[in-house]
Amino acid sequence: MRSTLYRKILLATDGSESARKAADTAIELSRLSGAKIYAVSVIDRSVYSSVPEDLDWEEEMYDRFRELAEEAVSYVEKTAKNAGLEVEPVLLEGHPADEIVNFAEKNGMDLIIVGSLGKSGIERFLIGSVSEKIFRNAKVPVLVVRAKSQ
Amino acid sequence: MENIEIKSKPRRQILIATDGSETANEAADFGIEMVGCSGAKVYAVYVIDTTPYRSVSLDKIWSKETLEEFERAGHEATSYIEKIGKAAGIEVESRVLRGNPAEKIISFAEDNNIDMIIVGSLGKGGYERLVLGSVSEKIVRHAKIPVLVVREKHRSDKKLIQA
Repeated sequence: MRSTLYRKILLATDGSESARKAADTAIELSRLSGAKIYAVSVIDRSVYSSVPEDLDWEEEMYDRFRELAEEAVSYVEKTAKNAGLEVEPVLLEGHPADEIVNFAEKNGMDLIIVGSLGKSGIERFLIGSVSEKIFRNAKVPVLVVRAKSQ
Repeated sequence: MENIEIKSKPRRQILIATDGSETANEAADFGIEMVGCSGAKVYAVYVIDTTPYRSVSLDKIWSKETLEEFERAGHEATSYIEKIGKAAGIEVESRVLRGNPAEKIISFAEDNNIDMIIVGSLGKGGYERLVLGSVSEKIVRHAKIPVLVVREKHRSDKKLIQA
């Protein structure tokens, strides 16, 4: 075993295809290094906070977003556990990129892994706005994983 | 455990891009550390920027001495990666290429079945947290394979724990 290793990997996931690719990469790196995976999904409240108040609707949206985030995180948790790895699911609320960068810095993550595109991704030239904001702002090394590699 | 496709692939190949800057060296430190336990092969790549000036490729204009100077700088930059790779017991192959840096790095990666590209976040002119080197950004945007961007101020001895 080599002397120094990274110990904590933050995997940002939104359940999209590229997030799954990112999860595969996180799992591979974790197997090699023994690092713990923090599977993080952010419930983005900013997307509907500007809508005129309608509490029922807002609550429904919130529940739906929460469900999606839980699904995304539990997929990673299950896959990592099957591979015998240490994994911790984390649900956050707020602006996705900000929350992920803050969480990484506060909790001493050694590496952030993100998919290159979110759910609306279409093209090689595009990179998800959340991913872009993360690799521009994080002080921690960021690994960007393409949706369709090769 | 069996369903992880990556495991079944042959030996992994990692490209570490360098321009000889401090950031590039830090990215290389992190990369070598990461690659260390996987037995992957590392390509250390430096690109002499000959982006054409009015359709004339710069290496056609430069004197022999200028070119030699760039070649020397390139070998110096890659030799750092060879050195730390050797210390970690990793096979490192150096390449000094000519052309547009981001394009050359991406095409080299695609032609040589590279599994991951590692770059520093800033080139020699970098100064700020919000600025990402134009070469690094172009690589992240255009490469089909995973790209690891390592921040300038990342200090491996501070963040990483002794095992």
